[in-house]
Amino acid sequence: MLLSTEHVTVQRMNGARLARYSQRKKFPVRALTALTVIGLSSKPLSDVGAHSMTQCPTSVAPTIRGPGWINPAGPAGGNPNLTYRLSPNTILNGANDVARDQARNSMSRWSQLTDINATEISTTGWHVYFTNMNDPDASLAGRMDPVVDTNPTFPPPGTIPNAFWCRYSSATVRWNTNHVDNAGDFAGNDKGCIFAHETGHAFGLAHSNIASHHDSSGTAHAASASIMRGNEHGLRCHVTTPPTAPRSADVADVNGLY
Amino acid sequence: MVKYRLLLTLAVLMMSAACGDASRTENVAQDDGTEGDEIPAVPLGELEESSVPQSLDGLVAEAHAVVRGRFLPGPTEAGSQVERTAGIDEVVSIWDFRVEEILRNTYRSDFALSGSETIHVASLGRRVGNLRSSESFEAYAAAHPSALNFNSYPTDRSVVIFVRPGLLAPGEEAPPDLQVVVGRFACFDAATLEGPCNLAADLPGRPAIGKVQPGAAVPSFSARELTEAIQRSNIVVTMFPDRVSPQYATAPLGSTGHGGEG
Repeated sequence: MLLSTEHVTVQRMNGARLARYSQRKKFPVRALTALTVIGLSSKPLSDVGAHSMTQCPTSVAPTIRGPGWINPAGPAGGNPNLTYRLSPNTILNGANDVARDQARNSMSRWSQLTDINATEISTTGWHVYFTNMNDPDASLAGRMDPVVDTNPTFPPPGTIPNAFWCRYSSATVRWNTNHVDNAGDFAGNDKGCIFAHETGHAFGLAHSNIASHHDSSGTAHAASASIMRGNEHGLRCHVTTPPTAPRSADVADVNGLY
Repeated sequence: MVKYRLLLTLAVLMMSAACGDASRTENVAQDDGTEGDEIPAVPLGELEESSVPQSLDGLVAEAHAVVRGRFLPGPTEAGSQVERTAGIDEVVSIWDFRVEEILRNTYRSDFALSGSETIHVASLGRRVGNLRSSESFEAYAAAHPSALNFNSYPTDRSVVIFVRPGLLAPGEEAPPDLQVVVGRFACFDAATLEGPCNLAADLPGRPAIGKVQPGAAVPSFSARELTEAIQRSNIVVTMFPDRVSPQYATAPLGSTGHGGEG
């Protein structure tokens, strides 16, 4: 997975504008400055235009970095409604029953355990799209690619401002057919584990065991508390009973964003 | 021995670059358009970066081989996937890579990499031109950030690539020596060891319209550090489905599961 580049709103958020914004939001610049201290970046606030592929400014509020608000219609702290679609080409074509079931189960579990309320649709307008990919790097299990809202309406009252800056309008969640197919060890629940992990990315979670991860806790989670730990795929998804649902820290992190 | 050979090779390459080779540069520039430093450099996000080893030792450990050489122009297509409603238009490209020196090789001695003048390197990438239409690459990449935008490689200079086995979709015949670049971004300029070398093009192999911001996603290291990391590495850390393993068996270095998601 994985993300990148410019964001008009953020790029223009220089120091003066940030001050005006913080005043309007009753969010002291001092608080934002303090947040930079706990982030990885040492860039000053005036460099707020330089940001990562997540569209988030690298120097602001990294603890809530992420796309955050996939569906702007949902109120913060409520139950954001979003939709998902299974690819008619690769999941609903009769050859990938396991993928279909696992994708549905993954979204269902995220929906049950977090504030997110996900509904399957078969038309356009989805927020999350499940399909496959044919990456010749067979060691890669899956990926998430976002479509970034590069011109969002400015954060409405009640939303988390910095998460809004990083908003996705939609995302694709995919499993690598060269890594997991419908037979052998890398199938079934293994695929569900991959879907659950990539869906977490779509919801804005980074890898939770790396130094630069940016979820609501700010510290790395124990393996037993997160399905988002990166580079442990073999140990996490290719085990006897792989997890196919978010874990406690993932639930807390997503609920912190939505 | 390996250390001094690498240093000597890099020194020769640096002298060659300093003296210039105008005819070669001009010819290659027409191939992939990498002559222009004006092409936009796009940073990678932490999520992309976290799928690539952050240390040189990690990079070496995930590489079955480390090879210096040159991508040849004109990659071939080995498969594609198009789902327009989801913004998916991708192609698997297979590049011929002319081997100049093998710096690390963990494969069995009977594997095709040994003694090969050319190996095949596969990569998945977007057909960016089809997706961006008249939009600039920067604008497209801002709204559709992905490692898959970087679908091409420079052909005008030698690079050092860290590779591991490649695999094509069932039913598609893969060359017996098919490799992929570790984490998609483990490609470094051979003369400077600056990386990653990945480029964006409307189609793989076409003139570059973007490049990865130098230093993004990959560790930085010197030639000596690379040599030392290769010498001290005694493991291969990857996780492949069973159907890959017979062809790409490694020598008895030791191996452990790993792999990952984006």
